[in-house]
Amino acid sequence: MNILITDDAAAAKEPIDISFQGSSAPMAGLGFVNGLLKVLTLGLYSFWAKTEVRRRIWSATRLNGEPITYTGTGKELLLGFLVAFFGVVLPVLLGGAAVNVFFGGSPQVLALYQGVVYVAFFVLFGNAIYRAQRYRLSRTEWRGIRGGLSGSPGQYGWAYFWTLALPFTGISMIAGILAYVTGPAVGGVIMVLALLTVLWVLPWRANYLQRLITREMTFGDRSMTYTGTASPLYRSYLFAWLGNAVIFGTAISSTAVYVMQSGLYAQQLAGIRPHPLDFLPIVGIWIVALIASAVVTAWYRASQINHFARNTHFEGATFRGEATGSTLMWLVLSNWLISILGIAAGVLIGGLLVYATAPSTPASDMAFQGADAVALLMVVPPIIVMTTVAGTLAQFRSARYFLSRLKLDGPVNLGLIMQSQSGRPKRGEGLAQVFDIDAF
Amino acid sequence: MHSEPSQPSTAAAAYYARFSDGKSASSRDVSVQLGITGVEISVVAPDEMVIWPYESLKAGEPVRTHAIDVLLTSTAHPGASLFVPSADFARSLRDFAPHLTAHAERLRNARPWIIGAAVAAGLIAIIYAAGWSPIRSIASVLPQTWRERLGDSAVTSMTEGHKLCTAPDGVAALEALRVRLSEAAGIDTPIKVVVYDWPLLNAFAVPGGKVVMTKGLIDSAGSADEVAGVLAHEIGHGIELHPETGIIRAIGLAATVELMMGGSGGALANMGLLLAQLGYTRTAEHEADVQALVLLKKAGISNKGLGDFFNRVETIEEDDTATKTLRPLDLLRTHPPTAERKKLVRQQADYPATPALDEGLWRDLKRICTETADPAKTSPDTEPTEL
Repeated sequence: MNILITDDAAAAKEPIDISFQGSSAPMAGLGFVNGLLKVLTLGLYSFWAKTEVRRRIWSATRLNGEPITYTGTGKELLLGFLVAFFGVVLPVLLGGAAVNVFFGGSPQVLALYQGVVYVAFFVLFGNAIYRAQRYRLSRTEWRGIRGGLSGSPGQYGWAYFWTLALPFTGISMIAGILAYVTGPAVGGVIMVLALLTVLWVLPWRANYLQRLITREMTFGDRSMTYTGTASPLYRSYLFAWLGNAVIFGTAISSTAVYVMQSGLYAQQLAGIRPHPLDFLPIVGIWIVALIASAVVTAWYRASQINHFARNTHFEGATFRGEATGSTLMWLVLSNWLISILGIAAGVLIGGLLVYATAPSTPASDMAFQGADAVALLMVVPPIIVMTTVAGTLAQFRSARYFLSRLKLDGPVNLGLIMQSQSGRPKRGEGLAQVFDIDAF
Repeated sequence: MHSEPSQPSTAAAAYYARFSDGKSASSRDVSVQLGITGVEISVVAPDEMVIWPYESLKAGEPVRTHAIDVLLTSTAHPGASLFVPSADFARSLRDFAPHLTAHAERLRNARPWIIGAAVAAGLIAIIYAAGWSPIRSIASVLPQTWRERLGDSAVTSMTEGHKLCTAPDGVAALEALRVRLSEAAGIDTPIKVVVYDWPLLNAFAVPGGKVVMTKGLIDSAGSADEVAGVLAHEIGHGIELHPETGIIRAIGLAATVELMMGGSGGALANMGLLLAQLGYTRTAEHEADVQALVLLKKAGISNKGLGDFFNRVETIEEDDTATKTLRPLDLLRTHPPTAERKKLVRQQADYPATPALDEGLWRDLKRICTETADPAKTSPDTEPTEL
């Protein structure tokens, strides 16, 4: 090896320009191919599909014109998933079955088991987020220099749990005592107010967790620093909080009014099964509520993104986020629309295939079973393909949104940043896949 | 693998590139060429270069036809990377190192799984064609105590909020019917039957040979033969071990789907799961109908009762506008269409039969819910056999 690097870059600090290039049309094509391969491999290709999507997105991200690379593999994701599956999912499934067998389905034991599983999952959820982030960063390189996450998943998982569980149980207990003292009428109001108040912990929690994880992020042998406090987040949170309180309050009360006035409640009392279409207005109310919620929350989310960026520093340079409420709102809504259109297109294509080929009157019972198998074969693949197309597009659009609005202010002496000497995880984000946590 | 300096190949175009050694985050300008055996990188001067052999190359992302640039690493030079911002270079590289194309990568990654999936599908087809059900084999080796516990937990969750009917005369009448049917069948599995004070018209079998019927069913029945028909159908499920098979299948399917989907597309997988389950229950219903007809014949009870019951169900279905509007979705029904089932009953030859219960016992059975008890207070181990 006789390659000598002349120190033309090491000598001086240089500004870092973050950009994102590439258009979504080729990603739709990639989604289509990935969807087809998933179908042909009974879903197992999804680990490689995910990997190729990431490689494309990472590669579209440029620092001073040079791409960052994703060096993870489908095999690592598969192994990580298998470990999580046999270590977590299967024991939980079998544990539930065992509780049924050995305690004769005693509701108390079952409730206890479920409670334990929920708490364990909640702790594991934060753990999974951290592990996924650590895996992705360790597989991210620029100019051959690796990223990383130097802390422990356990600590983050625990913080993820207590920062919500502690305020929640604390306030519920206080409110519960107050409600008990004041009686049901005032007590009900107190409980509702307490639940709404507990939500005020969220910006503090987001900032706390962000600091925890950002301080452990590395690029090469250098770490990031985080200087943010939660207080600047609260002004935009007030709007989101009020907006959501009004939206969900309205949704809950209009659902209640509808249930009482449409006779659904009376039918329930009389043991009559209501017509499925009677539930349509309720679905409508909640779709409108979710859209409205996404709209009012967008401004808070945008300011949170910018806040996180503004307080993240690397080698004397500081990040800057340029997210805005209206653009983020459009991103969320348009991505929903893409997902819905994807499912709709899949169902439509699948339905047409079934309709075109299904016999109008089944000849016998066995023919029915055959028809089932055929229908499954025809409906599911188009849905998988179309949702994969939609999912890939949405993922790409989100990545483009954030990365094209992220800047780094201030020059960095790149020549001083050396390769990280720390080890990296061997397997990929198994838990995160089990919990279906997926950023990009 | 070599990276020795060598003479440049002639007549190849030179491209501008950025080279990083992977030791620090700096990079520098170099000039590269597509040589005969590999990418030639001029490090200091055109006459001093390293070669990255084509087969040692890896690309940051699969090299597409429309790629505008390419980032390369080489196993011959660990840590180093080379960024060539040229569409022309990327296009030409596809010819020299075809393993870097998206097509080649996908083929490499997907082929083992496609073959595996095809083999699995073939095996399933063979098992299916041979009529062997591995899940049922597992169900049949479960110890009876386990089955009963599973059954009890199913009953507890399904009948929540409803009381057990315990009027002694009614219980005795039900027992008479149970004895007549299960002794006729000469089956090993002990069958237990209970009635719950529940207005819904329903009956179901749970693991461990337990059958649950509702007050709604008994109230609406026109004769003891009808109740006998339904009971025979549910006992048929028990004989065929359908409840046990159903639970094992559900757990197995959930695990398989979760494994296959790799945690992605959960909702979709569940839809497939639901369809697969529904398809299965329809076959099971048919098998239970066939068993019921055999049982009724052996017990000398007319199968007209079962036919009457199907008529009743059909009338309810016709009244139910939901069923009408959803007619094209017959696929989603758990039971075979009632018309099909009626036809099956009609096709049976006549045989000598006596009423399932005499007038007095039938009256007693109809009054079984005049006394009720909280099921939680009756121990599941002692209650059913005496009923």
